[in-house]
Amino acid sequence: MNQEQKIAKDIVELLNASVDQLEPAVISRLAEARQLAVQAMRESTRTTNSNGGGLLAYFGGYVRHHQRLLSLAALGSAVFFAFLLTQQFTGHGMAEHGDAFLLASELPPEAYLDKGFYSWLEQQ
Amino acid sequence: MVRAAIVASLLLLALNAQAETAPKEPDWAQLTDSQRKVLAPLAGEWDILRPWQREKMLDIARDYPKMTPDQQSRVQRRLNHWSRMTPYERENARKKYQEFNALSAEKKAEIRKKWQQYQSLPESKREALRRENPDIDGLDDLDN
Repeated sequence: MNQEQKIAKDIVELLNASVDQLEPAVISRLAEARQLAVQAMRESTRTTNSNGGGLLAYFGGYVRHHQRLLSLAALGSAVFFAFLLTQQFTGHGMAEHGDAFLLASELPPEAYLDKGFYSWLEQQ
Repeated sequence: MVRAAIVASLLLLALNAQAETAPKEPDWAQLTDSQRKVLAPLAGEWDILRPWQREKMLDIARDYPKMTPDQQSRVQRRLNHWSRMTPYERENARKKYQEFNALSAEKKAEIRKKWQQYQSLPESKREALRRENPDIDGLDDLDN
């Protein structure tokens, strides 16, 4: 047993020894105060639980314990998102919108430019 | 940890930029074998194309491998004519193609069929139709 534990044990023994010397009125007041304190604690816990604070407290604890991992995940997501954005803006992410797909379409480029074809479609 | 993430993101952006800053207007001799194969119809005129024209053709070569054999065949057949269009014509064609692409599959099939019928009309009739309504906007009015 280390020094601190020995001191704590001595204090407990001294307190226990003096309990027998307390007057009944003092003992009664102490018991009543303890009862009130326990009651107040129960009510406080009930209010917290009805607001979902228990769940929030659980997640708060989870986040505190895994803060480093969550920070890494958030940064990694931001990096990945930035990469995706640059791909979009440089056109690498655009599918089937380039000139190649226009040339490969089932209508030739001249069909898109033929005003006579549009006139004829209107008449059909 | 934060520093490592910042370095990683900067590295990614630099790599992306590097891919973009590779020579955009190579001469015919500087093209890869696969690019030369796709752009073969333009071999005779490649070195006189403007840099921005070459860039557009290289974009076509980039997308070419994603296509079916039928699509690739169409690209090869149409590449010459496409390269000789004016920028205005190409831009108009792109807009109309986007409108066409936005139509339903049934409407697209109908328009393809109409194009074939239109092609069978005499040239004089087609010329007359062109003179009739020079300012028709496009295909978006037809999807009703």
